[in-house]
Amino acid sequence: MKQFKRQIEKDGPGFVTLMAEEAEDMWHIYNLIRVGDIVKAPTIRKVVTETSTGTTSSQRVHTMLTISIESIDFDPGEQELHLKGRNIVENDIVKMGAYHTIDLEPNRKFTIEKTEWDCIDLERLNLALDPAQSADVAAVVLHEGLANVCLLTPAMTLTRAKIDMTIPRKRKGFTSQHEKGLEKFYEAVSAAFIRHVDLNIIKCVIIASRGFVKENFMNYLITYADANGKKFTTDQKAKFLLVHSSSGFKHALKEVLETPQVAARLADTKAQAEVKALNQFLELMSTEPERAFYGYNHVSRANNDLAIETLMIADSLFRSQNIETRKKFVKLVESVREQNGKVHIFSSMHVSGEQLAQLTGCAAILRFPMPDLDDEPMSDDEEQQQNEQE
Amino acid sequence: MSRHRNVRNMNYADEIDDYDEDYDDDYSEDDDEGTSAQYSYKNRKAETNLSANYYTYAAEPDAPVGAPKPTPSTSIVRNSTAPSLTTNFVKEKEKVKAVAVAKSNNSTPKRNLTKNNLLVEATASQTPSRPNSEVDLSAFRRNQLQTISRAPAQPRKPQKSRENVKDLINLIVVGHVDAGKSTLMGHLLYEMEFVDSRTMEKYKHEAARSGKSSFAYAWVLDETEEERERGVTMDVARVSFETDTKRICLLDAPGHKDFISNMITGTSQADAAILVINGTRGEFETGFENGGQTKEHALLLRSLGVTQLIVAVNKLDTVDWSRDRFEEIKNNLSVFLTKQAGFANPRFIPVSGLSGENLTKKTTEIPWFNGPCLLESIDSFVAAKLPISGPLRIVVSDVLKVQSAQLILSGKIESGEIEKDDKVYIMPSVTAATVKACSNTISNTEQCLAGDHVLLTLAGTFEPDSIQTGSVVVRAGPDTLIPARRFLVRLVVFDILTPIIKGSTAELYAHSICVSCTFSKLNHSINKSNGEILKLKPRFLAKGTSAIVEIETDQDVAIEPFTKCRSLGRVTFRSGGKTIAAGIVENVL
Repeated sequence: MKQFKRQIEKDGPGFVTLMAEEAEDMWHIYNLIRVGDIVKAPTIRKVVTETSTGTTSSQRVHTMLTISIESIDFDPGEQELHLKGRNIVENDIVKMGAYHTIDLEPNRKFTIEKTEWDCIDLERLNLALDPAQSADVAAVVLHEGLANVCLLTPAMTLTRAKIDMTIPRKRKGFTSQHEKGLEKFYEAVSAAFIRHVDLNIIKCVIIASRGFVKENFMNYLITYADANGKKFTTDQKAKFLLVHSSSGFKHALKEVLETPQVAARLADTKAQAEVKALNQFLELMSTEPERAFYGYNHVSRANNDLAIETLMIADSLFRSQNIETRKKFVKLVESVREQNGKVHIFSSMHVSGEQLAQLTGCAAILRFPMPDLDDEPMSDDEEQQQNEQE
Repeated sequence: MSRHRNVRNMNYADEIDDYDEDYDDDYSEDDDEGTSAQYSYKNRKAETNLSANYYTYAAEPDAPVGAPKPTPSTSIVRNSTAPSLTTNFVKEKEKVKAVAVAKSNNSTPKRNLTKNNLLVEATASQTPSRPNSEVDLSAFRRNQLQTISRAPAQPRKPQKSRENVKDLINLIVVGHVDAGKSTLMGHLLYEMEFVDSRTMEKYKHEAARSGKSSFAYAWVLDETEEERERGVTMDVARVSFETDTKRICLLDAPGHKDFISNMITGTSQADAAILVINGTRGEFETGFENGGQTKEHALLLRSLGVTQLIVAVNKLDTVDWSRDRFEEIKNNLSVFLTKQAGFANPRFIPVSGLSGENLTKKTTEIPWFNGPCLLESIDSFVAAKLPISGPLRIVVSDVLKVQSAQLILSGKIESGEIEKDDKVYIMPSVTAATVKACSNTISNTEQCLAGDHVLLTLAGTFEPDSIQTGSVVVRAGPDTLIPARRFLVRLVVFDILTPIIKGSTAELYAHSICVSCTFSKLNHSINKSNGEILKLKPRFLAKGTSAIVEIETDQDVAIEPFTKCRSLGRVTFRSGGKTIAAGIVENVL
């Protein structure tokens, strides 16, 4: 992400002019923009003109519009952000108060203006502007008949292709059916891999499966690439990493990220840190349940007693339409930081984030056990909130 | 109150009964003949409920068209009282009919007649509200399902009895990797002359050439090149043979932990099992204690409904047929099998798969053992009672060929019967088809009954994704299966490290399905023995707890409440290569 101009007061109003450069940046912008913000960006508007005789003609006109956002829509596949809102600055062709939808894409300059920039926003902005962090990893998790080809960026896990095929089982005297089926399956996965993964950009490719599927697939992939005139160089081959996973479902990625081999290659990516923290939380759940709590009520009670060591919070909570909810969570984060607690903001586009989101989106590891918290029932309104967000 | 609310309530009490029998700490033998009186009682009760359902169906003429289902309340008090209330109500008004249905337990035609009568009333009255879950069933799909479930059930011809045919036993062979399952079964088949000596010689020769001469017998069952090359079974092999009094369908499961998913698919089709134990010193211990598959397999067997078990202690020739070793293994295992897993009476047999002792005939090598040999023990398994008169359910275990107008599949009939020219539907894709041919493992009979493994040829218009392993073939009518993606499940948590929390993802296994699912809600934890609620909305489920939870699968799946069809109601959850829980489907949400 590029920044052109910035005039922000912490916890006060301000604006920033940015330009997204890649898919990842769009995700950051999606997390930055909220309903009520003001966005100024170039866009295309269909203008209908009516002559005095009553004939109409329509034209598409490029123009600069400033709108106050009413709804936000993110398309992770296309990497587009659709911002709908009312025009608030007088324009030659668009009336004040007229509705317009701006499509934000990479390589378009735009300005965001907020009445209040809180610490989460500023953090997100700085994160997006930091060029150092980008570890692009491709992963293929598969088992016989199912494969997921994913791209892992620091903030997102994008499923590029999902191959689901029925492979005939082995049957007395008809084993060739099974082998043919497997071959077809490998071919489909290889084709998807070649199409979606650019080995010149990707730094590491993880192939994970149970049994011998990964080796077989790797061999097939190499011959497939060779046959299609895209022979892997030795450098490229060195990027591959074969890991064990228990299945080919997307959630098996979590297992994959835990294995030491992968951990060494991906040290310090966000995804990895998240998985680590969540695992620690789950382990505590079984060993010392009085030190692991989730749900806003429990967590904030623990926070009042200065008990939080690590706070895990899903970024979907900060995208909340409700300003009050957002403020509540921002306050929680700030307060935990003040107490020298660690805060992980999970990206909801990762597998671990998906799980945290299910867990009310808010969980904490405590410094000391708080057994009396356990007796308190989890409140119903938390679930309602969650449903609202969904 | 809509019809479905009633169904839900009615079944609840019934399921509790069922649960007590199946999931109690003592795991009483529910499928056994010993409790047949109880069984039939329960059956009758189920019938009464059935009629009750039909009645309410008919008695609510002003149920709004396609009205959304009222939010199911989680209040237990309400649920438990509702059934009795409704039943009384039914008894008053519809006594005659209910009795008729209950009595017609054994005579299918009569029962169908009653059903039809009720149905005519039902269709005449109004459109009933369908279970309208929040799932994004497209309107089209919903309509389709509605039409199917409202189609009148075709009266079935009385079944021709199959008295001259031996009982069928589906037998699965399980055990830790390298316990010698395939070799044991391969040798057994060879001794029964299932494999001719020429082929066997060929195997022996080839195996010796690739430096694996001890694998020759396993090659009878391990047929793919990869399995032979690596020396492990990877997928379930299936062969059929006959003993003196039984037909046996043998399923040879893989033992490696990476292929447990295949083992589960095989086990879900089995009625009885042989657990093979490696008797070599040190090997039994690794397989049993240090995270081996012996325990997991045994628990899976039980939770998938297998009640009869033979333990074959293999490779005893390596310890000179030591009686002490056999007794040591027997003592260790029986405690686990009876107390923890809940098998009533596991039988232990010393064998050697490689040298072939005690397989088909008693051997002089083991003077201290005078029990039956393996084949005799297999012969003494009791065949399960088959729900032939139940609704049609064929679980697709393998798709052999998919063409645009025809497909060939193999599967097991879990209940009901099927014959040529039947009109069927494939769930969950809701594809209509006609049966062009069906044959079971014995011969090309015209009709296949519950329990059979069948090869079906269907005609219709198909797309590649119309059918998958785990699809279920059903008939239209009120007994049809409505695929869904949210279920209420009663489960027992296994020995796991990280507890199950809300939002945990796992793989869901049921009959031959494997899909990923999420625990979307932990409703309450319950007391294992009496079903009492221990805690509402627990934060997590630690090992050993029982609980009622809501799960949500990624796509529509064809499973249904345990009370409706036992084999379609058993579910197993796995995550990270371990089995984390097993249970039964209580309700479709």
